[in-house]
Amino acid sequence: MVAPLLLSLLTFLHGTELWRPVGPWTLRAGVSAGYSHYDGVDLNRTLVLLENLTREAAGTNPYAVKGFDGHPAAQKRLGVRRGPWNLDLEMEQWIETFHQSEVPFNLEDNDRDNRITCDDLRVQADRLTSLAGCIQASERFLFVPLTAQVSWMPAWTSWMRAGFGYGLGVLAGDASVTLDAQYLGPDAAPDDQITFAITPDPLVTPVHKWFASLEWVPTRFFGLELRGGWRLTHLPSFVLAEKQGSSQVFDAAFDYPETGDYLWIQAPGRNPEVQSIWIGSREEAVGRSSRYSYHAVEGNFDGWFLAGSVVFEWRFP
Amino acid sequence: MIDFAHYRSGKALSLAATLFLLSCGNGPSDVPWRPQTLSGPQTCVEGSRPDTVLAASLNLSIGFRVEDLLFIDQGSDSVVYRRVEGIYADAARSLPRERIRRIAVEIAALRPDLVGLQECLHLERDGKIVMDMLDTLRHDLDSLGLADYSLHRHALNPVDVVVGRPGGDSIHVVFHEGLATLVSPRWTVRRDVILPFKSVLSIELIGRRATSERAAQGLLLSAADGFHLESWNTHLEVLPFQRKNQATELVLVADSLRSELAIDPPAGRVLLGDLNSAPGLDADSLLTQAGWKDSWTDAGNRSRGPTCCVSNNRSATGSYETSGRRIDYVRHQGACRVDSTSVRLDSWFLTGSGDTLWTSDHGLVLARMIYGVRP
Repeated sequence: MVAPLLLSLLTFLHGTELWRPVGPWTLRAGVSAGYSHYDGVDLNRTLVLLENLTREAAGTNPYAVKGFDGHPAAQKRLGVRRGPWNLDLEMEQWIETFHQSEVPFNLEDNDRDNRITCDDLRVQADRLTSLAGCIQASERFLFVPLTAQVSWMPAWTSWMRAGFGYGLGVLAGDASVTLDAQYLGPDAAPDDQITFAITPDPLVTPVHKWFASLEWVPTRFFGLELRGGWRLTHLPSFVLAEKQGSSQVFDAAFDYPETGDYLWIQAPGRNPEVQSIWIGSREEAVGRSSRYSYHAVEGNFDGWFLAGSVVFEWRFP
Repeated sequence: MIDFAHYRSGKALSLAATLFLLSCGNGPSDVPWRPQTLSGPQTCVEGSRPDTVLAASLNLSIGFRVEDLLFIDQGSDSVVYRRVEGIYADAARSLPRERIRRIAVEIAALRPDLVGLQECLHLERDGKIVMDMLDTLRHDLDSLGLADYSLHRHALNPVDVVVGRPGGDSIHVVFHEGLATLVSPRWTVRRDVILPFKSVLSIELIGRRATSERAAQGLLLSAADGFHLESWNTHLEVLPFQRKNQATELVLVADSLRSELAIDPPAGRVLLGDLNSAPGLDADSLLTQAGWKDSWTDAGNRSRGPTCCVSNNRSATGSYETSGRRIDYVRHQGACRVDSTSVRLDSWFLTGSGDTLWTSDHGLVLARMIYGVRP
C-alpha cells in the first residue's frame, strides 16, 4: 500500500507528463518465476478427509497428508509499452502432483491398530480369509490463470522503472486423478483402474491481480523485474468429469459417483466436527439435509505472489 | 491508446465487464442442515420414583458379513455362485435351530423387559426355508412359556435373486436380515418405527446395485404403572466412516422423535445395539457425547466385557476374552443407577447330538437399570 501511495505522490510532484502515453511503441516479452501463495482451505481439508477415509476403511493408512498453501509458479507475458503504460497478457501455470502409492486395505480387520503394508498382504494373499488389496493413486493439479494487465511503470531514472498495476482475467483448469486398485484374497476381483477429472464449476472464474513492480533496465532491450502483489480468485465448486473405467473400491467409498456430481464436505447436523467427503448432486444433498449439512468444496486461491522476470523489449521506429 | 474517459468506450467497457461476470456464473450453493426440534438428553432426576428395567442386546449373527461380497470378482458367475453356496454351507453348519433354542432358553431364564436383536436372518433356497431366526425364536419362546412376549420386527436388505453358473445349475436365493425387539408383557407398545440411515454402504453384485441398509428401530413403551420407556435398537456399519455418520443419525432421529412425541411424564431411554465400535472409539464416543450413558461402565463393571467375536462357531476352543472386543451395548438416559451388567452366551455349548456350538458371533449383554425420570 505504501509504495503505490508514494509513487502517486511523486507523480504529482513530477507533473502530468508521467501519465501521458507518448513516445514510441515498444513490444515486450517476459518470462518469470516465483511463488504463488494461497490458503486453499477446502482443498487441504479435502485431502485430510481423504486420508481419514483411507485410514478408517482399513486402519492401515501408510501415509500422512501434508497440506499445501501455494507452490512455485511460472508466468509468460507478452505486451506493449508506450510512455509509462504497459499493456500485457500474462499466462501463469500452477502445477502440483500428488502420489499415494501402496495404500493397503484389508477388510478382515477394520479396527487394526498395527500397520501393514501391501507387501505383507501380497505375501499372505493365498491365506487371506477375506478380501484385501492395494491402491496406487495419483493426482495432477493444473490451473492456468490468464490475465490482461495494465500497469503504470514510469522510468524514474535511465535504468529504473517502478509502478503498479491491475490485471483482470480468468482462471481455468482441473485436477485429474488416477486410481489403480489391486484386489487380493479368495475370489478377488480383477485389478481395475479409474481416471477422472475434478473440474471447477463454472469452468472459468474471474481473477483479479493487484501488483507493484520494480524494474532494472540496464539496456534498452533488456530488463529484470521484481513483482509482488495480491490475487483474488475463488472457484465456487468442483464437479466430477471425464470418468473413465471403474473401480470397486472407489465406488464403495463414494457410493457410485457419476459424472456431473459435485464434491461436498458433509457434516452431521448436530456434529459438524464429524466431516467426510461426499460426492453427489445438489438434489441428493437437499434430500439428505434433514440429517446433514453440505458445503461445496471451494477453491479459494486468494493470496500473495512474488516473481522475478526477465523482460525483453523491441522498440518500433 | 485506450481513451477511458470517452463515454462510448466506457459504456462498452461496462457492458463487456458485465457479460464477463455473467458468463462466470456460480456453482451449487451450500445445502444447510434443516434443523428440527430436538430434545436434549434425559438425565436422572434426584428424588424421583425408581423404575427398574432389565434390558439385553444380542446380535444373532452367524458370521455372514456384507463386506464378504465387496471386491470379489462380480463379473464371474462361478465366483458369485461359489460365494452363495458358501453362505448356505455356513448357514447349515451353524445349526440355526439349536442355536436359537439355546438363546430362547437363556431369555426364558432371564425374563428381561426387552431384548434388542440384530442380524435376524431369513434365508431360503429354491423356495425352502433354510433358516428364519425370528420365527424359530418365536416358536421356542412360546414353548418355553413366553408366549406373552411380543416380537417387533423389521426386515432389511431383502434379496430375491437367481444365481446361476455356466454349468447350468442355479440357486433361487431369498434373503433378508433385520432388527427386532422382544418386549415383555409388562409393556404396551405405543409406537414402533424403523428409521433408515442415509449414510449406507452400496455394493454391486451380479450387475445389480444394492445398499447395505442400516436403521434404528424405535419403540415407545408404557407400563401399567405409568412409566414410559423409549427403546432404540440398532446395528451400525462395520466400516468406521459409515458407522460414525450412522451414530450421529441415530442421535438425531431419536431426539427428533422424542421431541415430537413429548411424552409426559418423561420417558426413560434405552439403546440396545451392536455399534461395531469399542469403548472410547468413534460411534461409542459420539453417543456418549450425546448423553447416551454406557450401563457397563455405570455399573462399575471391571471386566473388559468382550461381546464379540468368534470366527468359527463350531469351535470348542477360544473365547471372547482372548481377542474379543466390547462392541454390543445397553446404553441409557435417565437411569440413576445400574445395578448389574453381564455378558451371557459367551461360551460354546453342547448340542443334543454332542456338537460344540456357539450361539452367535456375539454374546448377549444384559443390564439392570434403575430409572428416575418421573415424580
